[in-house]
Amino acid sequence: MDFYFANIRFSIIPSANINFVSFTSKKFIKPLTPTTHAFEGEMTLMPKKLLENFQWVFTGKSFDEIKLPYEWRIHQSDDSVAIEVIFEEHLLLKRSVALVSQSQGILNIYLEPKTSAISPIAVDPMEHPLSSLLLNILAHFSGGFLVHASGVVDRDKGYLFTAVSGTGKSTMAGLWQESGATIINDDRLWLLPVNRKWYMFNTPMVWYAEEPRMAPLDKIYLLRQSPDNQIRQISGVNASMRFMSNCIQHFYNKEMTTSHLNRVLALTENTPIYDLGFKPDQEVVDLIRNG
Amino acid sequence: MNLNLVYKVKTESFVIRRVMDEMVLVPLVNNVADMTSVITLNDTAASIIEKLDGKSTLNEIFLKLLDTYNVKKELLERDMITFVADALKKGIIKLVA
Repeated sequence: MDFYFANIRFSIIPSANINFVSFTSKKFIKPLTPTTHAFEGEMTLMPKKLLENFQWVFTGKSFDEIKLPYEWRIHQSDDSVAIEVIFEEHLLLKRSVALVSQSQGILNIYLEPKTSAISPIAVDPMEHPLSSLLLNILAHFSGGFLVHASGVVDRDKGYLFTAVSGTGKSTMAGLWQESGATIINDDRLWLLPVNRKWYMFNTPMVWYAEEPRMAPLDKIYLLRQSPDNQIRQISGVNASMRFMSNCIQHFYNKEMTTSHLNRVLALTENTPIYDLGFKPDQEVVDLIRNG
Repeated sequence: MNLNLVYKVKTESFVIRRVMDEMVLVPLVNNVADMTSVITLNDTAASIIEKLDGKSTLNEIFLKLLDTYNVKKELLERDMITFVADALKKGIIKLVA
């Protein structure tokens, strides 16, 4: 089965004891932009000592609002990175691991089912939360990055709205949709330069299956709630860093951090950034459209 | 502060990028980026950071900056000492000699 995420093709085959139930990723099967990086692999049961030659470099926990508690770890070897998810309450799985070698173009997914799980087990090849962590790494390998943001395309112009959770990313996307614009996604975007122009792509999400979409990125808005609409262009490294604080960034070595920072600066130095205090009604759409 | 001391930027602990007349420092903790503690610096602070090469004394740096910037001697000295003390406290620089 071939998936396409931005400029990445990911071909994965299930082993005999695994059935794919492709849900959230099921429509990401056609490329929107030419593929420049390809990964191939298998989804299979986890062998023992899989991570024996890896060094554990990073740990994270699930966010409170997500109903499936888990811990995740990043492990590194000479030429591979392994993302491990350890579930606390998964119906079928104890652990899952994505093992990626950028240089060899290999991406294998390993599952450790609960003893109570009946074989063959049925899973989504891009199941949350492994896919969210994996997409972050793939976006980095692709030359782009992920950001917590909503994105819309309106009259050929692409606008990105970023903020911490609960500040109005989806509300803003909804206002644009009511006004005839197309939502690229209302929560997470994969940003990537294509022929020197930055684009935003949607990614497979946790709860719903979307069509893949892309749009040019023309303007960036940093959202905050406000009793009335206030829009102010900002620049310089503080503007760039305010944007960067909403990027999804689990970088475990200096090289990755350096290239991520360079990409964020490359985007933000050449894309207008606005501080946008807004009240959630149609006026703000008109303000941006006419701006 | 003793102006004969020599300091060096802890380049192993930060990803550092000059952007026009500003500077960004991303701290690394065991090589992992700490994106919640990114530091941004203005032109003067960035110039001081660039000159803390582990060879020049603070006094030598002070004289170079005095040449570059149109600023009163006392003000520059005060600002530089404050910044160096702060940079030391934040772990951006370390004492070499």
